[in-house]
Amino acid sequence: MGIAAALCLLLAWPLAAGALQLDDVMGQLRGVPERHATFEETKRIALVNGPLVRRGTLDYVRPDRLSMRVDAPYFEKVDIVGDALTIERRSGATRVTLASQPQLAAWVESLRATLAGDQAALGAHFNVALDGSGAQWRLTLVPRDTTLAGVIARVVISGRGPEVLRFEVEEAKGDSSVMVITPR
Amino acid sequence: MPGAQIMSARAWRVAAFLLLMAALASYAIVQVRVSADFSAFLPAGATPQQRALVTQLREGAAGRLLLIGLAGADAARLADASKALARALSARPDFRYVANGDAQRSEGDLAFIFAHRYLLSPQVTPGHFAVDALRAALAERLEGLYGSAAALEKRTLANDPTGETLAVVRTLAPGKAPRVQDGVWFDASGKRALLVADTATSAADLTGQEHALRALHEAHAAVAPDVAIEWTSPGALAVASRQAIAMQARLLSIASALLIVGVLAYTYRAPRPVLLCAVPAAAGLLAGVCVVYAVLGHLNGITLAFGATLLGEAVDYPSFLFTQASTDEPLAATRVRMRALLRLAVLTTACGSLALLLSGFPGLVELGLLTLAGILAAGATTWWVVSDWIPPGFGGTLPRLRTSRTASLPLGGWARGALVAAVLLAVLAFDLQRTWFDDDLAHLNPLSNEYAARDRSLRDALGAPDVRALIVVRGSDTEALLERAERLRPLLASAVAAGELDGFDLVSDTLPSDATQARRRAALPPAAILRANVDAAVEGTPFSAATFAPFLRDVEAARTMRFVEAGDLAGTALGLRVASLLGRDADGAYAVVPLRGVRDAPAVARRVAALGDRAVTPLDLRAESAAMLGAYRQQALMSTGIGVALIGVVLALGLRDVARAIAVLAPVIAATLLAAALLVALRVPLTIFHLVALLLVVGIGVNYALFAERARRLPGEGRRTIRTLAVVSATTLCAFATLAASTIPVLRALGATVCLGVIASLALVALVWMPRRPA
Repeated sequence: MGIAAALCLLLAWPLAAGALQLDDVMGQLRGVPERHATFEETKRIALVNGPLVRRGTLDYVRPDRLSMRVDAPYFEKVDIVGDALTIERRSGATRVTLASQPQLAAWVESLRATLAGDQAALGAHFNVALDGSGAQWRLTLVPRDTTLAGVIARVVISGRGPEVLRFEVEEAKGDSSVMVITPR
Repeated sequence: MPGAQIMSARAWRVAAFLLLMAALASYAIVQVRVSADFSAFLPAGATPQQRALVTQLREGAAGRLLLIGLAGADAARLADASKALARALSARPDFRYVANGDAQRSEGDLAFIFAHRYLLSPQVTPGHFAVDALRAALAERLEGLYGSAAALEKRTLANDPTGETLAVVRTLAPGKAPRVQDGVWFDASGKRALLVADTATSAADLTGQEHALRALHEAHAAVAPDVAIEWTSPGALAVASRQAIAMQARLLSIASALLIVGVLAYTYRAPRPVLLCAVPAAAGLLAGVCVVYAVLGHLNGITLAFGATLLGEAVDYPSFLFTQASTDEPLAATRVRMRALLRLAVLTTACGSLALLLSGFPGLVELGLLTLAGILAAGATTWWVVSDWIPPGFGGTLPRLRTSRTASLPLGGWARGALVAAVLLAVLAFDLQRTWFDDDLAHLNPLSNEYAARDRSLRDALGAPDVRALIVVRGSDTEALLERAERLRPLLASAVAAGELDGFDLVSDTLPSDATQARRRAALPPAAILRANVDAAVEGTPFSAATFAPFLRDVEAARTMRFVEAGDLAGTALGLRVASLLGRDADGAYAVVPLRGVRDAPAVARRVAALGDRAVTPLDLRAESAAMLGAYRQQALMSTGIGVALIGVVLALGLRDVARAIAVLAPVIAATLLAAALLVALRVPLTIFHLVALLLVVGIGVNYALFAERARRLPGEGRRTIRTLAVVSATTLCAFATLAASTIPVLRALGATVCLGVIASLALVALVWMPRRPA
């Protein structure tokens, strides 16, 4: 009886040791004050034949500064500081407050809160599911808000340790985008 | 018995007087409507510009717009308050339309634009759907799809790959729109949420504007009492002005009435004479009001106010009699003694106002008739009614005169003449080089600078058009107006590019003319050609032609779509915009083009003139109103001159001596000019209100001069004359000194001018008429 229990414990131990906790992942992410990376984003849109690929750099500074710069094929610069989002393109710049655009805000938060390790902010917008083992983890975010869920079906963010390596958005109507992030 | 007969005659007179007053009063209360419509002041033969000015001031859309700011809370709360307030105000009939930048409120507009984009978009030209143009458009769309804002592009790609919806929206957006935060407009600092509300009543309808403001306050208290609110609009400023003026006028009337009663009470030491002093003036005002309304059919509030001022002279008529009373004669004898003078005093003022009556300017005619009827009625009342009510032995109650000798001056006749001439020359020489007059209405604003600053700040933040500058386009019907307006577009666009102005609201941008819509419809290619072009354009791109089937369908439908007319826009913000830019007045249909941030008005006017279209005229509201005021002022000056000449003639006839008449009039004219010169020297620019006050000064001065002349002519009258002049000048000074203390420019102008004039009149009349001191 005791031996069986001990055996069970022994068998369960690696599983317990390997099972990731959301708190740990978030904690690891929280520990990084600044991130600089290059990315390659691939979009698949129903209206367009073939994937749309673009490359650029991604920078993050705690707690809420996120900026993305696209170099190819078309220039674009997106700066997010707190609630203000500025998009700069060849044709000009537009400034928006995230508070007035809930869907855009959710999309921004999905990446930014993850980079910040802010579990509360993430949980406010999404139902979070974590899987993975060892250092590899994967967050699957499903929007809480029904209107948003009608547009974005799922956001999947994967990484290793404190690094975020992949940011995927699956839209409800079938379009998707995958951003592969390479820390510098 | 003789006594009983006199009694009944007097009683009849008094009864008749009371009955007449009662009849006039009831007429006045029931029939007379005092209007606040200043279009009645428009001089006859006004230019189309001036007529347009009045219409714009009366009904102009910019005049109706109420600009609202909310502050004093964090941005999220302000945004909620803005949305709630917009909802509350829209529900009220006082407001036609409320905008606060809320996207949801403009969903309907966007849907309309989308449905009619091929008729409304300025991009639709024959070459716009050629292969090259489509290829360029698709390249732009592709770039958009690569970008982070792809979601927006995806929505309209299939139906509108050439981006007509966005093109239309861009022409409609004001050049300087407030920024949108949390879904509503905020100013640049983000601390103030902004709204605009189009009131249902015109700016000239102050009662309606007051109602709208009250509705605003109620809505604010109901939905967002914790948030601070500020507002401005021409109507609101007018209402505030009116309230400020009314409050001050009330306060000052009470103050001056108390002072006057005090002076009269000190003089007469009995209540009845004091009360009787008010009767002729009141009767005169009542008679004047009724006569004006009965003869002319209208009476303006401004005229009423000035008329009441001019009739202030009538308060002195009873005092002319009462202060001349003495213990050794019954008042009836005093009356007979003073008859000639009282008659002359009344007639000179009446003839002076005759000149106003004949001037031809509606406002001056009203004023002239009011004064004429009022003065005559006051004089008649004094003569036939008031003097009956004094008890016998009245003379004994007057204060004893202290001096045992008549006052006198040690100067000889030549010296005095030289002094008067010197004064006149000094006046002319010193002030001839300066401009005496100021016709800028803005300087008459009774409100503090705070109001003006708040108005500027809200107007700048919202990019709202300046109420001041616009272009008026005339036409036989809407279609003609739209076509003319379209011709203005390239001209105005180059003016903006040259920095002459910031922006403009052209009605044809929202609603193109039928001719333009027909051109655009004709530019849409037939389905087969368009399909072939699309097939060719998508080659080499990641798009497939099948994606754009909705586009082909929409263009084909647009080729036979009915033109968009003004009626189709009803219920949308576009419709309200068009309605505010189009109008109809006595001269026909017109469209206004409000100009924003005009920096070089002459340059813009030159461009418009270069168009060579007489139906298009720029209108600078401020300059036009100044010009109109200037014209009035010129006419008033001329009429005053004629009036003075008429007074001279009456004096000559009444005194039966031309030299004496001149001697009576000269010091009065000198005193009036001196008063005007003093004002100019004090850097007070003269306005038409000062002119009205100077008219009063002439009337009063002539009365003083007549007394002085009479005292000189009849021995032993000196002391009584001084008493009379002391009492009447004291009451006049009391009345107008309180006005001079007002913070409101108009009231201050009247008060200061009359006070200066009365003092100058006394001084110069004394200078001319006081007897020489015996050696």
